[in-house]
Amino acid sequence: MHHSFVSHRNFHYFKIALGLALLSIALYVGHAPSEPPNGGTWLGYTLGSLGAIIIVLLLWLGVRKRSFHSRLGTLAGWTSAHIYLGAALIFIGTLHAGFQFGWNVHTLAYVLMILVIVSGFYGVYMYYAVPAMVTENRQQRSKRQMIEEIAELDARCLDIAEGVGEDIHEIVLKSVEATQVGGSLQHQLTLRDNDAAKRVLGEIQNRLTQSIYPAQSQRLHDLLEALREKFVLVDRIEQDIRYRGLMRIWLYFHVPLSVALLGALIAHVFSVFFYW
Amino acid sequence: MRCLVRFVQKKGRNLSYTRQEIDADDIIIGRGSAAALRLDDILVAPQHAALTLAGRGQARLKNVGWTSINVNGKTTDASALKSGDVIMIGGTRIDVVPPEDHFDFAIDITLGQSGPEHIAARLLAARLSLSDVGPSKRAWSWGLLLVVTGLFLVIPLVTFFVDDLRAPLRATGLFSDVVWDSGDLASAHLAIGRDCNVCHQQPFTMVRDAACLDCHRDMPEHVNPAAHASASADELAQIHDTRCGACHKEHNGDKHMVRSDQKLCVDCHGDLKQKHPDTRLADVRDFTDAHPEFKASLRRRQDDALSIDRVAVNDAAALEETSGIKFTHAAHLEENLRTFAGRVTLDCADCHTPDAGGHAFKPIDMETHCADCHDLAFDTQIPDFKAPHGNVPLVQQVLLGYYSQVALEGGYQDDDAPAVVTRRRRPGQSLTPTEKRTALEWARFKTLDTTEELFEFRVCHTCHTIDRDEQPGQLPTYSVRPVHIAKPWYPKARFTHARHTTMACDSCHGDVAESESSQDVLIPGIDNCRACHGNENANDRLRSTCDSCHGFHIHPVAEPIGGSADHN
Repeated sequence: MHHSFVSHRNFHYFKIALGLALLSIALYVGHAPSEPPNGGTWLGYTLGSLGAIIIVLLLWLGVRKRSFHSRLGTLAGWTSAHIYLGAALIFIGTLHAGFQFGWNVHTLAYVLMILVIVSGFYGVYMYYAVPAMVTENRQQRSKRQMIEEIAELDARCLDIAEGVGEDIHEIVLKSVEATQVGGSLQHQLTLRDNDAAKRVLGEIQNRLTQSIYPAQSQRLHDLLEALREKFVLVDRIEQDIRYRGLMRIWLYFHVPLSVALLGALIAHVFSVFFYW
Repeated sequence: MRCLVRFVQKKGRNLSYTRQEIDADDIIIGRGSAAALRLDDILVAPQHAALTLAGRGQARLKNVGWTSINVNGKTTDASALKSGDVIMIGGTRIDVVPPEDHFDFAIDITLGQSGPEHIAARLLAARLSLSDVGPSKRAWSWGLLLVVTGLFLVIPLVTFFVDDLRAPLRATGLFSDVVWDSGDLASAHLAIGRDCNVCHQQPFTMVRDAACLDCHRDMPEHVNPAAHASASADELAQIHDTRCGACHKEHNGDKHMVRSDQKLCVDCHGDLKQKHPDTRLADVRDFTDAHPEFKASLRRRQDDALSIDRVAVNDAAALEETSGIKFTHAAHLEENLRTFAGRVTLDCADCHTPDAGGHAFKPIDMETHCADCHDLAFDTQIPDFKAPHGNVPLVQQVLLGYYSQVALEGGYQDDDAPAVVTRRRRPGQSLTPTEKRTALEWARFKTLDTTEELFEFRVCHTCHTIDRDEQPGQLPTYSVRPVHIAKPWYPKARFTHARHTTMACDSCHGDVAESESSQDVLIPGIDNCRACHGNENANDRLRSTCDSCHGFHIHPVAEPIGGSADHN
């Protein structure tokens, strides 16, 4: 379980983030500007600066993750800070805006920030829940090992089938050709209903039931076992692809939206001072 | 037809061929015993495909059974073949080559990977992770970054800097600097429309006062700097160099365009005395409990000079109206007053009528409000003939003229008059010079007598204070002390009766009916207002700020903010 980034250093960054959020709320409640609360009051500028610094800091994690040789903190520490400070941004950003929203670049930056944070929460949950299922599903095999095992099983099935008869060989060969893993985004994230596998197994099962020669029955029995083993492996690899997809799909939102947020943030800050 | 099949084997860099000739029009390719062309590949079906020769170099390949064939990378059931085509059946590669002499068709067969290797290679080549599908995160990131910065940074900047594109871009609504708009304009500024640069004229510069003053011309200052010699340059600068925008915050809708919070005033006026001991302004911190008693502006006449005294209305000793008129509200509010029109009971509105805006009241006017009862007739024999009001010399001239006329005409009923005055004459009958002199002497005496009665005992004296001046050998002259009633009582505040019409007059001006003197000041003080008005945070009364009664831009000094509009 990836608890290291959640409870890192006894919830060190959780406490910092909670402190920042509570401080922002306390300042906001005690703030009585002569205008409606907004980003342009002294508190608005303060929270805005704090929020912008945190956003840039958190984006830096994207760079930090690729630099394994950095001695500036541990990856678990950075991730922990990333999650908790990111969550604190909900409070800091909302109070910076003073609940003023509109169809403009300012609210765009806010919405992008919220989307990034929400997609991040999904990612945290996935990193928390899925790795154990991946380990369980893989049974200490790599994806390549599983595929090679499938190929070996296929070859064995074809060998046995050839001994049973040409028609069975053709059925099994068709099944081998039809075996697919992965594929489109939808295929990677969902499990196929393997009707073809059921049909092949049903057909072999029928032959086994009708078989009257013990040697033939033994071969059909072996074929059935090998096919079942293969289809279980296909299911496992499909499940593995799905788990890994679920663990990564959020990054296709989180990362591009973060970069879009950086653009919107620059436009937001620039425009505020350009049209001061 | 004759088909040449060559099985290709690699030995290091060299290739060796094993030849097989098949003389048939239809050739079954497969792993089984029935196949004319047998391929030793576990992935090939017993009867996998049929090759039909159709002429020199021409053939057609057709699938047999359920399995598939692949021609030039495409999975298919049947395909015409020509030289150069590549066929994959299971893990085996078949190349169509130009036939040698004596052959109609030729193929080279290369047995490829073993079955398991081929299967594994095919599965590993599939799209097994998200990075194999669709654009990368980096591509999405760049795309979104370009869209966001393009729409929200570049296009607005183009709107600002490129004159020719400004209007068309703003007309689109979205693709302009309107995306920088941080909130609703105050409705007073909606007429500006989408032209941000009416206010935002220079980049990275806070909206300058000049932009405001383009429309808001001749806006008065808060104080007159010339009258604040003791204030430091910094303090004056604080008032005069403060941007309009420091108080008037736009893009917050209507609510906060004008600051009306207590703090705006109290920041300076809360402890003004401490900072400037010579100020005549009292400290104000809060209307409910830290606002000085109201001061009435009373007009004072010293010799001929008129001055204004500011007197706190709770200062009973100093609070004395010196209007110069003799009047009591008590006498006028008695029930069933005796008048020419019979018995009348007056109420406030009979004399105090609202002015055009309902803000205050029209001035009390002798002819309109008093003359119905206070008659200026001076002779009972001619009650319709009245002395003029407001012009002392004219009174004497009118009376002298009137009495000279009746003396010369005769027939005037007066026991003390000479016979020439009382005797009736026929029309056209002339007087002797002695009679004329006697008559005019009487008229002069009568005028003197009546004038004295009017000014000193009866009509004028009722309301006015009269000064009599007498030079030896001349008729005495009279002068009426000027009347100057305070108005407005509280010129430093904005009070309007129009907003208080639901109240009865006596709920604020309560003791009017008991007032026995025109020296009484019947204007209520701050306690009266506090009965209903509280400070800006009051929970039990109408929340009122400084701005409810006082203005900020109140001092029309010679040069308004930003200089006179004429100078622009």
